[in-house]
Amino acid sequence: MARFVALLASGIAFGAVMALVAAGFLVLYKATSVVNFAHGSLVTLGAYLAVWSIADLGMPTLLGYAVALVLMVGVGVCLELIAHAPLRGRSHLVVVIATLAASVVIEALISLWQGSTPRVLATPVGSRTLKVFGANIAAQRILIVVVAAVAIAILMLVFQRTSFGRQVRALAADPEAAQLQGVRVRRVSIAAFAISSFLAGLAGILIAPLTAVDLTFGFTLMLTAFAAATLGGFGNLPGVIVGGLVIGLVQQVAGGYVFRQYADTLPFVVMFVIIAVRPQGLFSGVGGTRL
Amino acid sequence: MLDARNISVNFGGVRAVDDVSLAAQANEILGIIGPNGSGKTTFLNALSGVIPARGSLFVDAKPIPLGHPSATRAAGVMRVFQHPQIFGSLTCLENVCLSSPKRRFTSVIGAWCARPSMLSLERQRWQRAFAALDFVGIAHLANAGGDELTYGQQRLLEIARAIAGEPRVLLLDEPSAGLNDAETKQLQQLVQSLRASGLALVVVDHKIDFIDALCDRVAVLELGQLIAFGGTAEVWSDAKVVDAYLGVAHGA
Repeated sequence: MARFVALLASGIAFGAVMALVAAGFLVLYKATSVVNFAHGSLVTLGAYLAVWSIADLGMPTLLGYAVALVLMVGVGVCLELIAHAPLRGRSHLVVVIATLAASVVIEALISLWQGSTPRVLATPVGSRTLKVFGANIAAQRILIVVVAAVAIAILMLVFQRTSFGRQVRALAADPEAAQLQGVRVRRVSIAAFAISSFLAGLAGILIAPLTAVDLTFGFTLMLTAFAAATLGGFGNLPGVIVGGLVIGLVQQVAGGYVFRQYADTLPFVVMFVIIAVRPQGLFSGVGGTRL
Repeated sequence: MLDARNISVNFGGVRAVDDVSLAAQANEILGIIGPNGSGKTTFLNALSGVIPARGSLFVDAKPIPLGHPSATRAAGVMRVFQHPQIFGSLTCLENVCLSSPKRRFTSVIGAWCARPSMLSLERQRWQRAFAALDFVGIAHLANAGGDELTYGQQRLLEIARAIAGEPRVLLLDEPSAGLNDAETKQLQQLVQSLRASGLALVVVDHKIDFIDALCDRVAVLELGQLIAFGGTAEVWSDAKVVDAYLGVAHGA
């Protein structure tokens, strides 16, 4: 029982981070139709900025987190202005290649700035644990779930209840028609990059204290979040969030009990199965193309 | 109000609209008819900026760049499409709110920093959107999804959205297509009441009866060229129009 509870807590926490990363993907995809392959590098950058603020500059932990997140908003805006705005109107393939290039540049800059030695990020909850049904649950995992839930609730409110969210949903449905209604594509695009980058940074900061921060830290998270987004249906925010949780649970619980050696590959097995059987995702009513 | 001069549109080597000049005044309904492929919709596409075109466009004597839908929209030109372009995942009220020209505090930061002002403006947007839905007679569907509406209701929703955009000029592309007689009659009354509110309306349609009953002046296009323009009686009796569109009476 204790082992199951520990794996469950681990799966939910990992799934919550996946949901944050996938939600960041999705905000950008809905607003601009861009699949941002620099998203993993943004996750890495968010964690490194927090490490820099706290360990190198000596800021208090929470202030360091806040500084890193504000900087991530700036990074998102810069990314839009440098790698996306000049390519507006070009084919999606060109923009995807530009995001790959941005990813390489971000990782190279991190490498020059921080070197390749793994770093450790401090957390306000330290190494405290809570005993639940005999299992020791790291307080950081509970922090992850609470912060991710609040962030996702705010994101859903923004999507459903604000003028900005309305504009994003209209752009996702039909960019040309949205533009004819006066939706300001450029402003929405900049805001979407900023929000997406913020969510990537937040995900990086939340998961970093449970592992070591290195240059490839965000890449694996991005790939796993991609599996979560595919599982949930790429255009569907609640579906993508559930997809993140499912992927987290599959990897941690199934990986913990049955496929210990292959736990990291389980999300991709799930993704392949979903693409083959239900390409529109489990929670999307929109028809996709079966591969 | 709307003054389009020497509008031409080429698709490769094909000239779809050839040097067409038309003007519509406030409180006027200008009809455009022509056989299939005569360039009616292409002309509206050029006016609304969704395709590249040559020529000049003026709204209230101000020049508007062609090929820029946002500039056309900002000048107060709204469009109702041949096939309603409704956002199915948004409710009717949200669809209509989208076109509101009042955009202050709609950015994420603006909304966050000026929350009372944002909420007040958002409330005004919702009220105007509801009034527009009420005007076209579908206020009871305010919270229904766009994809739940019938074709006729989608068309009314699109008109409500255009009205909420506070346009100076409204372009309607085949508004009666797919509507039954009762719906067409309702649409006709609706368009006439819009004229009374001071708009300039440009209506493209196939149905001559509809255009005849509705429009103050009519333009006839054939193969991208303007072959007649004037009052309805004058145009219907024009020999070129009879020949090209209405059909030549045998033995005449």
